[in-house]
Amino acid sequence: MARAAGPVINEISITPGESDASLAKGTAPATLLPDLVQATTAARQDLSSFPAVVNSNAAIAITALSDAIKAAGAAQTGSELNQLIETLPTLKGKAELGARDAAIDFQAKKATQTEAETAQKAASTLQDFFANVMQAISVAGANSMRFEESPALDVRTIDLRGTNLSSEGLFEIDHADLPFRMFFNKDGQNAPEIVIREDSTPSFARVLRLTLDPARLGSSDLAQFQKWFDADGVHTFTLTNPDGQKAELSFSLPPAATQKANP
Amino acid sequence: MNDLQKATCAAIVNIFETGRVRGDYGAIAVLKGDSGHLSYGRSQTTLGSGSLCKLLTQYCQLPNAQFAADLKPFLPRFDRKDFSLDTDTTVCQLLQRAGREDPAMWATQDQFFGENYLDPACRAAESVGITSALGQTVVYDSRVQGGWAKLQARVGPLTARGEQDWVKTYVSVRKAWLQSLARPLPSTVYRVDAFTILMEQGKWDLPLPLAVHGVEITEAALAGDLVVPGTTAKRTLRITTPYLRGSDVTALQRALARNGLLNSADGIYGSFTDTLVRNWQSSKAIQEDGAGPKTMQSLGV
Repeated sequence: MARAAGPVINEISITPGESDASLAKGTAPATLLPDLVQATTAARQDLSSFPAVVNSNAAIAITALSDAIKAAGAAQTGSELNQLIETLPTLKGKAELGARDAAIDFQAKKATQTEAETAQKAASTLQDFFANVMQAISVAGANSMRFEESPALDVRTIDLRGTNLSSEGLFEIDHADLPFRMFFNKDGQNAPEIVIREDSTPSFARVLRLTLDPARLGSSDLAQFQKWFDADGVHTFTLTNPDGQKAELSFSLPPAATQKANP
Repeated sequence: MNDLQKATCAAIVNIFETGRVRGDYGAIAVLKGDSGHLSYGRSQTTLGSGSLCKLLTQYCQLPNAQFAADLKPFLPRFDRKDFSLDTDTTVCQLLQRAGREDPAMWATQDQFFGENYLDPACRAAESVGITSALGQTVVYDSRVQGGWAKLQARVGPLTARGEQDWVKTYVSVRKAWLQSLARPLPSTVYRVDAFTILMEQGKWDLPLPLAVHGVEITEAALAGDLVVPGTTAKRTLRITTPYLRGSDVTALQRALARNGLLNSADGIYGSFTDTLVRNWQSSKAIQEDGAGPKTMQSLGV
């Protein structure tokens, strides 16, 4: 009995065609500045409730708070934000010293109770403001770091075009197994998808689609996925039909002429 | 690290993250990305990673958890990572109140973050030969903020260079890396700068008191710059940075006012309140560092 014709892969197309590293460059989240509105509003509210003071040390504490709020409002760029982070501890220290000296003045009857209390409150508000700003920076940083640590990986679709492509064959990339558990077809099964069947042999395909969703992969499969798709490069795809006949074709990220077999 | 060094290590990272020695147990934010979404607590457990669900489950199992009954009905939604929780104001308010008012939540978070973040970081540090308290804190901070695995590999093995040299190199590599990243990450180099200062001061064992990024870490601050609302905690009140606040401060201030030392009882133990306390102590010949048991008793607090 004549042996059935073996598989032939004429073309491989990978979607998206770029490596994860290239894709990450294009999809990095918009750079975020921390949201300082809440911190600033609360501090401004406290500041506006303070009575006018004559004592110079109480005034130092209040001015330090006011300067801190202004500095936060002006932090619109990365370098201004750096400046704010450097300035805030200094202003906080100034307010604490102002409050301390206002209390000494109160003891020496050079400041009123209201002035010394207001200086204490200003220093305390600035301590809170400093903490809230640091927290906002930390949250904004966590968002960016999350992407830096593990950028979201794209679902990969591998379309094979050719003849006698078995959906029950063995699949390999760079001679490493590409098991069925890594596939996820439109019916939710761990299997390839026949897009166009062979007229003569319905179990074979002329177009076979393999979909890999990195979010569904276990850690070892994910590591293998990243090995294949993380960086630009050339890879070899192999299909072995159940009768043992093989087809092999190279593909590259990003796509190149090698992905098409020579006629 | 001994227990005090571990507490100091956690406090340093808390200061980096929240500007506070004890952190913010009720902090809530929404982080981008599938492993992010709703984040909660002093070291940001997240809905997406499942760590928030684990933390809340642990909390709800405690017999003295004040908000357990209110939070339990939401646990299945946390378990199935229902991202609509990001904007559920009822849940967010409950979490915030539990974090700010319930000592059982503080204890749960301390235990959870110790077991899941700090202890593994110490083990990771030890596995590459870093045994000093400061060195392990650098590793802990890197694991909390991110980038440890990537940068550790760049610096290479500790070998014969010695731990201090390795940690210094790692910190400088980390600084350059943070500066190369997208905004606002370059602004977070204050973390590595703070470590550089501690290394220059030779504080490898994290001796107290320590000043980190403008915040003072003392044993008193580690033990309690938080008090249980509605109760009078037995702590000695004294000037710290930031100032101590709480119901015990208010009770003290009211007692001072009743005894002729007028103040508005704002609940802040700052320089003004401290002056009133000293005046009281001087009038009663009380010798005490801060407002401790003798002062409190004399005022009838």
